Amino acid sequence: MSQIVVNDLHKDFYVNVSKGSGVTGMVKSLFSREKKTVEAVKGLDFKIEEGEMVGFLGPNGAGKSTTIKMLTGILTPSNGEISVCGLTPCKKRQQNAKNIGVVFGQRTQLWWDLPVKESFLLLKKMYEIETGTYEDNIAYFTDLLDMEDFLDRPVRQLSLGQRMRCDLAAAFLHNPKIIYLDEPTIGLDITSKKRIRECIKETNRKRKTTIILTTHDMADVEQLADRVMVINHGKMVYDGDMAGLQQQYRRSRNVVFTLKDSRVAFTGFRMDNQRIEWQQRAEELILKVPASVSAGEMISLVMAQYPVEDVRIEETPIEDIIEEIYNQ
Amino acid sequence: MRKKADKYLGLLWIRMRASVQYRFSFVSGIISTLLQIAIQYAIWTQVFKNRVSINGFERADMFTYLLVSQSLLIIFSFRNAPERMISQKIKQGDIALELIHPVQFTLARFFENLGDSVMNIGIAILFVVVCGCVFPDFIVPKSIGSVLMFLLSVCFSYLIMFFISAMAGYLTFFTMNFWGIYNAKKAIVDFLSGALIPIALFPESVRWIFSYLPFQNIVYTPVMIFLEKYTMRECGVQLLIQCIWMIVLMCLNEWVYKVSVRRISVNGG
Ligand SMILES: Nc1ncnc2c1ncn2[C@@H]1O[C@H](COP(=O)(O)OP(=O)(O)OP(=O)(O)O)[C@@H](O)[C@H]1O
Ligand SMILES: [Mg+2]
Repeated sequence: MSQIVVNDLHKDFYVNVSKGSGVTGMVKSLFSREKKTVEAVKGLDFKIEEGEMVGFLGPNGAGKSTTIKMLTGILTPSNGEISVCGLTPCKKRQQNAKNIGVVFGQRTQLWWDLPVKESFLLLKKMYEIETGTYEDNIAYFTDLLDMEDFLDRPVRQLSLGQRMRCDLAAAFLHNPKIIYLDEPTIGLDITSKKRIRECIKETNRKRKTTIILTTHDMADVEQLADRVMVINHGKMVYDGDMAGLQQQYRRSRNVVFTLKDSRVAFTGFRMDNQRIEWQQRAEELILKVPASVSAGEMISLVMAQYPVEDVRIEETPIEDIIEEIYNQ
Repeated sequence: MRKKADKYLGLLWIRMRASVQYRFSFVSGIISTLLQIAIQYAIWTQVFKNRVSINGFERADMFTYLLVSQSLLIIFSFRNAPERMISQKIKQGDIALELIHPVQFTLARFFENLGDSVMNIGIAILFVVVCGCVFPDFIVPKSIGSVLMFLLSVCFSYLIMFFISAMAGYLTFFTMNFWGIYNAKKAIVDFLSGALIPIALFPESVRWIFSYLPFQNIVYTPVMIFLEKYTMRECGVQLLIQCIWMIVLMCLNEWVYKVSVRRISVNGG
């Protein structure tokens, strides 16, 4: 059986609707409360195998964090089933906790007043980590995440990037089978991001740790994820690899020609009865080729009519593709 | 098993070390305790001016009662009251993060609280010992048995107090108002536990009502054992009652916890 199996997962939140603002609203809501249902997750199905690295994408409010919380056992699904390493997370919370590591980028699981080292020691006791394993891990992650300089400082004194690195190490400390990372690179600079990505990649490769990662930074996904799951309005819209995502959602790509002579004027172009959008700047000619049109054919047509020095195809940036999906 | 214990002792140790950083609050705590004692001492001195005893309480009894009950209050004046820890975790949403650790929530809070209390316990003991040496009026238990039963009784008190506080904390799930609940709890406990006035001094009917509430087990019972007001048999009965209350409150607390966590896990807190 797969490590994580999710069947028809739903999550509804019931929120109180306040009636109007000010004092009248307050008085009204004293006497009657209207409840509104927010459907955060509406029927997700997926399976994740051991050692997979999954990028979990979706616009703000899509239901990513809610799904992660259900996977960790913090939230109970309204409907549907979850099995993580054969356990139902919300029913076997403590047992499940030993199999998983979690980083919520917006929060910390470390003790605010304690030096980082002490927090780690406490986690060692909580997760009943063997001393040998613990020491190896501390040495390994201190090196990998470059934490030496601030291990003695209380967490509240750390910068966001430093704290995030500590939180990441904390999540890995007990050699969990699965790591959930909810926006682990939020608000970090390039170097910190790089370091965190490296750490995630390395542990996934060396330890076969399954990693599920949400982020709004496409570079994270491009560099890390073998598989992406995209959700929108609580529903899965894409589940597969990166290349497939490009193919499925690419509307067009740009073909850029460098002409031998900048005085040659391009006069427009039709292919398969579609007008091709184009734009010329001196010797550079850019044609926007729809997904339905073969780039190869088009290139040979242009080359037959114009003096071409050089050609290159620009893939649609992943950001644009994602935006395309989000806007659907 | 040892590892299981280690988890919770780790939490205790951390909190104990942290509490040393708040030395100043101990000093101010002691000063306010001394003030309390001075005021009550003045009042009771007036009361006992023209009579020898009230409901079997003599001047020396009263004086000892005052000091011992105040030192119990020192122990129970949790710096990080469980209700405060719990309600903070609820408000800041950290309770979700607490739930990703493989520890039992209530047990973890109990040991944290015990860690916070270690300093207070030390101070309370010191306080009683110093009073015992300095004031000739102070009644020291005559038998070692009484002392042991007193200590056992205090352990029960501590647990009872902890569960009541924890439940007050979970209430903030529903009201989202910490200070209201905190003050209400404090007022109720101070009055009904016998910390302000020994319950023996109340009229019969009031005592009858109090005897069906858990609060007098927090202060009144242990201090009465200290004063050796009970026979051996009565002592046993009182300890049994405390034990029963402790178990009842523990179960009640577990239930409140479950309801609260269900609420979080259903509605995200
Ligand atoms: N505790 C809650 N009570 C009510 N509604 C909630 C609660 N938590 C989340 N929601 C709602 O559920 C939806 C999904 O939220 P969720 O936090 O899962 O989004 P997300 O995909 O993580 O977004 P982001 O990228 O902004 O982090 C949102 O509409 C949100 O308002
Ligand atoms: Mg989120």
